[in-house]
Amino acid sequence: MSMQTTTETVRSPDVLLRVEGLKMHFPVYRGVFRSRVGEIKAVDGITFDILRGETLGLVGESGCGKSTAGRTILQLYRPTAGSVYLDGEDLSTLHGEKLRQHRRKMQMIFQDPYASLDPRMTIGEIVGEPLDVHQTARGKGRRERIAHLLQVVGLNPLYAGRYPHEFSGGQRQRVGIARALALNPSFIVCDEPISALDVSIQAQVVNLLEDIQKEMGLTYLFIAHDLSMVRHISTRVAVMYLGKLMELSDRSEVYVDPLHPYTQSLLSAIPIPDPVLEERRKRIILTGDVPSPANPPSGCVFHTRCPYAEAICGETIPAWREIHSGHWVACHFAERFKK
Amino acid sequence: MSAANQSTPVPPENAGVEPDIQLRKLNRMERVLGPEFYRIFRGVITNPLSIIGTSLILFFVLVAIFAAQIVPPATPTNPYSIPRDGFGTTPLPPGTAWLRQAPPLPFWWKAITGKDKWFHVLGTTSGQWDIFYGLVWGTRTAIIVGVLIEGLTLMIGIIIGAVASFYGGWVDEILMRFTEIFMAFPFIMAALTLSAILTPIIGRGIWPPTIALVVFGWMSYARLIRGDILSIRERDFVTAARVVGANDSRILFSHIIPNAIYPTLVLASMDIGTIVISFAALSFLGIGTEVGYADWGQLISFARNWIPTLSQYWWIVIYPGIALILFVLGWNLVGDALRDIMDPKLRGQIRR
Repeated sequence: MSMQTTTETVRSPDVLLRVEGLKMHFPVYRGVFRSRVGEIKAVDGITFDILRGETLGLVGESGCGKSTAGRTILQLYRPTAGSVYLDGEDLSTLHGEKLRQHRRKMQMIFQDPYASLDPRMTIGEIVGEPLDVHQTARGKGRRERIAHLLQVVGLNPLYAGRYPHEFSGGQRQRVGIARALALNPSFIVCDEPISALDVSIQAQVVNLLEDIQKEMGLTYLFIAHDLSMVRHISTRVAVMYLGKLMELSDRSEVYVDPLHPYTQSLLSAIPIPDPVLEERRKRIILTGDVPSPANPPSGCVFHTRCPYAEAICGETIPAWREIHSGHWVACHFAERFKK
Repeated sequence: MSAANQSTPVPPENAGVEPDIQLRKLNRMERVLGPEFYRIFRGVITNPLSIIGTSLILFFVLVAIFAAQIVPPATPTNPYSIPRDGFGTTPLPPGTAWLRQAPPLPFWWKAITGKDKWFHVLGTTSGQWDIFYGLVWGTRTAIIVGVLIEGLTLMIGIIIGAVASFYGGWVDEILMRFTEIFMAFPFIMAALTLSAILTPIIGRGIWPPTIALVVFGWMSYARLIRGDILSIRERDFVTAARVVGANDSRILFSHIIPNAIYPTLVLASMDIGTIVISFAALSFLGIGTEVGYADWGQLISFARNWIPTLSQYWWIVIYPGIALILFVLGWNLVGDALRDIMDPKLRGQIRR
């Protein structure tokens, strides 16, 4: 919001994806005449860049708008306001065929591997669908490409003729990854790709995601609520609360030196696998529930639960500011928390 | 789904290395039919109820196909017209000799009955229409009418339901209110009235009741498929298809409809029997095919004047009634079996 945009920075080679003041409000209708009585502010003005080749972790509790943000960036929901620049091109202004063509560059990996594969298609058809839709390969070339993709994600290409129900959750998630890779995208939104999997399989899928990132030079937006997994995979981490970004910085800085009270409370909830340290761990326990996104609090959205809130917090929306190089935070008193 | 998954023994996976997956061997049938059809097919041929149901339907289909061999048409130009043995009102019992307008002898007649001439195998009904002839040729009517009406209602229902749910908003609102208006009519009364209105316009025959039953029969399919499409539309795999860039028609025809249509097909298979009953009811009430047309409902309707003495003339309702009951039972058993096979809660049990 306070970020200055010039065409120069949009085209800067490091930035693959720029999100600017992105808002996604869902209207609420009620009554016989379906009059519009309000809106759910699922994403309410978020601004950030994703650099080429990095993994940006996006964390926050349930219902804070992480998934909506990911889907709005991919233009699965058309944003209420704001822009999404991919390679310098504003996706929010594209429609129909042009947008369809741009979908090659951005893909998505879904949370639930049971729901994200069409149960009536073989995994070969599922992985081949992007190729058919964009007519990138046919006949033998298509079959070879599918076999290659299955191999890349660690599945036996001989099983292309099998149906999703014959595979385990982890194997299905690999199919989902293969489908996302089919068009050689540069950007992938991973929408909680591991939270539906067994713990033993989570690590394998994360390692696979890291391997193919290195191999294919992919950029990830990694949406999750598992803070330790995000710490493992991310280059930078963004923290979201009630449709707004609270803090964004390098992974180490967010985890070691969080400047936003919300980030601090989230981190204090991570258990420490050492009973002595765990005993001494100081927890910041937030009171109350997340307010409704249909009627967010005035000023700073977090002020109703913030242990440090003062009068100004309920009146003025804190600016989204870069407190020092690469460390963005939306808090009036961020300086106080600096170590 | 998850229960089925747990029951599948899967060795631990190794990232990077090709995992040694041990999958169940697919047989050729499964490969050709695909998982859903194979599961249905296997269910249909292993479920005892559906075996009875399919055999009944198969029996009627064979009778319909070979009607001309079982009973050669009395008048080759109009085989559906039941030949009359005179004009007397009193029904003749089974086994009475056939004196007038007997059809040609079929090839099996002598071998099975040992007689040289036709007799009324199942007796005649009031007006001397031969019941056996009417039942055999009426099987054709029943199947044609059942499949025709069912096909048309299904088509209308699916189109209206799919359009309403896919476009949503005002389109959905208008189409669904329209559907509800049609549902508000009492089915048989509305069909009876429409059929009576149509008869003088397009003449007697199978068309007036067919049109009337179609016009007042499509609503449940429209509502059922609409609901299923509304739920399928929000599933992740539809979003996934959108992410890869599939257009609306591809999403609708290759992802949404194939996943949403099965409950509607189950309902349709169960309804074929009901439709034949409704058609028979219209015939019974006299608003159907012309008098003497081979139609089970019409055969029963000839018994109307003999209701007080049915204990004496039992054959005029028992035989057409048995045919009707078995036909409806067959479709209902198949429909029931399909419903069990498609029930997601029973999936795992049936697959393994």
